Amino acid sequence: MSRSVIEMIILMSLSVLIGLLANVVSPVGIPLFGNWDPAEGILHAGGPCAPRTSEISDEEILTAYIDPANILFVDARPEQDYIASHISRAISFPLEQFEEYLPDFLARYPTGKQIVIYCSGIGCTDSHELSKNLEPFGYQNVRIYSAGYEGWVAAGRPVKGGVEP
Amino acid sequence: MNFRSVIELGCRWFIGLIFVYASVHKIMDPCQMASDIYHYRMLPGVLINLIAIVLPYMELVLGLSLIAGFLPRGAAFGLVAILSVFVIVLTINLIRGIDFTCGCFSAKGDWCELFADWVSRGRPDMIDTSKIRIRTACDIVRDLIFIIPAATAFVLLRRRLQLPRRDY
Repeated sequence: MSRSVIEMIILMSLSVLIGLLANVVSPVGIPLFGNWDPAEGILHAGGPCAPRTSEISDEEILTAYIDPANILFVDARPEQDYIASHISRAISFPLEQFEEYLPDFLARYPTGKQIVIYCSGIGCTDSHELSKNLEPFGYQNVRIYSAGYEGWVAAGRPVKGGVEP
Repeated sequence: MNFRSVIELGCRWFIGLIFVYASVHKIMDPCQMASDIYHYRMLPGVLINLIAIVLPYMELVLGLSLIAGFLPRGAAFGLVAILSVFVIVLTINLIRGIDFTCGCFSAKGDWCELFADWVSRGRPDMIDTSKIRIRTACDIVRDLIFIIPAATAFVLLRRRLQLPRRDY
């Protein structure tokens, strides 16, 4: 084996060692294994990365849905996906256009509002990230519908295209 | 100091500093790093956190080694290898058309993010997928450009360190 390869292996082994040790002592350290199985619900790296927002169960979401006056459905997917089709009565708040949508959202919805956020399906993390982004603005009653748009459609529930009034 | 040494030192410092700089925000935010790796949709779940923990330190250690001259051949070789892996992975995702953030530098103010914003400016008809493609293509070009100084440093170091020692 050439000298360069041996040196590289030494340095990389050193990095692995330093990385693992630093992760143990770091205040932002993460567990060695995260929750990346979509079947287990919200995806996250575990430890400090675990979402503080709770999930809304499938039964609960139906109760929430028939109570539109109190509960707001928020679609975190990109704008064009929302326009193509979304959970009927949901509003659009694309994660990637957070700064742009935020002022209007803050003006329209009080922080005490009960909110259910969803994205495309069980494998996406946009809903979770949007809830994290909203936290500093005082929104506490936020929950995630992890089955997302795909789960809603698969259950044969109402969807709609275009923009909500 | 001859011309070759100047080039070698310049390449080592340039690529070393780039990697040290890029590693810092990843070390500070492993949650984001893990999430970025997940979005590449390439690794099994059991490896995501481990790579998120180790990869930033690899960038830091190799970058610092190259600057400091500690096992510099291995560091330059390692950085060429890492950059090559980045190029391959980004190219595969560009072809697959996957929506992901490269996570190469800090999420805000990433050069390629800014470049994609600049290209799509004033073009509301441009769909997000095209923007992601532009950004990924830019990431690939940038990493290919970075391979040049890393490989140059490697070749020059190898040549210099393989010369017979004249310590008589």
